[in-house]
Amino acid sequence: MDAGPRHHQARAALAVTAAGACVPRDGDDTMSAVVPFLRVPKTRKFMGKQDRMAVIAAGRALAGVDLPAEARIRTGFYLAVGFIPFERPEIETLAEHSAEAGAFSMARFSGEAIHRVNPLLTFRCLPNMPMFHVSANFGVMGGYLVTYPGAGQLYVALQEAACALEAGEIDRALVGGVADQDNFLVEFGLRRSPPCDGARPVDAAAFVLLEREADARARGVTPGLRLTALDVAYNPREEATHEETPNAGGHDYFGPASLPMALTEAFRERRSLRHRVTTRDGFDAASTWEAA
Amino acid sequence: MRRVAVTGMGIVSPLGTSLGEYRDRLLAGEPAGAPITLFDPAALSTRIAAEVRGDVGERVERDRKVAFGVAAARLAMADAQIQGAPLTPNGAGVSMGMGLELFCMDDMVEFMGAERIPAGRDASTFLQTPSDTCIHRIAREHGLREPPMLHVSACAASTDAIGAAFRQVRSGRRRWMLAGGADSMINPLGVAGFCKIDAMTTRNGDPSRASRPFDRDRDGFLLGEGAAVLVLEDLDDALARGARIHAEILGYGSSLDAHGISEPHPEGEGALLAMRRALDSAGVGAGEVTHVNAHGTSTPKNDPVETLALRRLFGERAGEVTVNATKSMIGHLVSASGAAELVAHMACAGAGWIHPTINLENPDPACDLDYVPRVPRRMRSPLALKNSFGFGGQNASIVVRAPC
Repeated sequence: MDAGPRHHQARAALAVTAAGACVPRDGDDTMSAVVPFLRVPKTRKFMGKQDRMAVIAAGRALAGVDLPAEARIRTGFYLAVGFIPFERPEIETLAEHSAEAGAFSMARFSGEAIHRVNPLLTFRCLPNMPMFHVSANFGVMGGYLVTYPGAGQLYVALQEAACALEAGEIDRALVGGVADQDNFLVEFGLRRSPPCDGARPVDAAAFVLLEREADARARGVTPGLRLTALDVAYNPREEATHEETPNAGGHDYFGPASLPMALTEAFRERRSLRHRVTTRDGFDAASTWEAA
Repeated sequence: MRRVAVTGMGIVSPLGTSLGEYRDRLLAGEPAGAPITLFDPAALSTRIAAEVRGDVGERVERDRKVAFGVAAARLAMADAQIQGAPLTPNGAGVSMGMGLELFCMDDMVEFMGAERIPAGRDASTFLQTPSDTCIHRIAREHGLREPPMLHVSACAASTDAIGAAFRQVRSGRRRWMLAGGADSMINPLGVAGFCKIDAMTTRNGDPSRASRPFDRDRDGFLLGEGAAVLVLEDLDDALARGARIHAEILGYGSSLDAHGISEPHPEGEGALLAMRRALDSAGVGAGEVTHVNAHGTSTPKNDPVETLALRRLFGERAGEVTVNATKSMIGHLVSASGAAELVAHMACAGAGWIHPTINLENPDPACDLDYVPRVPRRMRSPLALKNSFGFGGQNASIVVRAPC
């Protein structure tokens, strides 16, 4: 990259006061794990895996946080979501009942296939749905930014959250990433954004609660991490088709959840963090967080 | 804080791809709804839409939305006459609201039997077009070096994109921005998805009267497609280079309903919050606003709730405020809707007019404001609000002064 990351000029010290993650390894049941965080358990039927992961991660981040209703109205939401994860069984149903002599038939698709899939499918894969489910279950009503699909865009969201906090437009920002990557369709998305050599795409969601440090301390809250540098640069490439994102997990590739995952770990361990992503679609972003 | 001027506008719409044509057809109250021609809708319950007609230029993508977005950005740059002006791409970026990347059903049927996609076929074979390619294409073409922003907040996406760009210019973090949105869901999967949730009009035999915001007989939205992009520029820079100024963006606000997945908050709480935040951001009181370009989808749920939110915002003055719905003519451009409707407002306001809301023949008793039915009206004052409300409870509002 011929230009290094550009420094974000912080006007107020910003700090992480809560963090939480969800990394459902083989056998983990997000269908059950999400229930304690739902205001209305039956809404689970509207949720895809990325929605459940986001709610679980946000729930873990906000557990124990004193966030009264008036504070939730002034809590912003900044989220990067990974590639759209249509579920394979639903795609197979659509494809099977849309085929005629091995080719797509609009007559079969419109007359048969779409009647065989659950209408709720429409809700389960949309990139704005994790934000909806988190906002609805935790009452977050502040300004927002929801973006897509990689680690570079997460940094853009973080930068906007920092600016909104510094400008006093919001009092807290829930900043996170979610990626359902163990998915048939996402596999093809990752062909143009492959993780770095040897890294394995992993399902992940993580959120941090970011706020002005002085406000947190005034409430008697001791921050875990302080943001000391945030730099996001971009150099448009001729071929904006591939992405390489190292992350703190070494061989696990968390996509847009890369930074929030690393932050959650650092927050838990109360250690400083220097994080950087360089993506083949042109982002060069870095942040430094010191233990507060 | 800097002041933010709109110095360029580009539109790719079902009512034309030039600002003059778009404005004139809107003021004439021309409906764009017609039978779908982009594919055979066969037995889908909705078989009408508002399509972009004609050639919009480069079609290197399988998906129309990227071509629309790139074309609209080009038109906006030409309109702003930035090339040759002392306004370099340094300190400039792009912010776009983009639609979903959907998979292509033809490929899906071909490939589903295989364990893996055959070698040599990549994701862009399988997907119609990854949504994020549009921002990178625009950035490359115009040499924009600031990190691009992609917004995926559904029907609020392009209003959010413009709002985010406004904030960047206003705070001095950017000198100018290309901002807007692009979308096309007029494809088998897009139309079928909306059919499955009964969101669209099924008035297939009467497409020109199918989109009827605030009317008692509305039955869902008419799907449209297109793109709109603005050049947002530091007002001092714009004045210094003698640029034509279409409008000034004064404020932006957003909120989350935190309520229902497919229905707005019944009291319009989120919508009201977004509008109030936009007014606060603008430093403008509700009493100064005389016009609202509504989200106005023509769905049973949106229109009365938006009306209620406006009543709550304006109080006793609500009946004096004009409200129009661009969707009555161009349909719902989904992620591009807010930008296309803001351009509609600014283009007409620049000529001193408010475009009409067509097909409002039998007012819904729950929708009891002045919706500018059938014929255009003269602008009374330049301050207006633009609303966009997204599926899933995202609300975005912009305060604009047009003409300046």
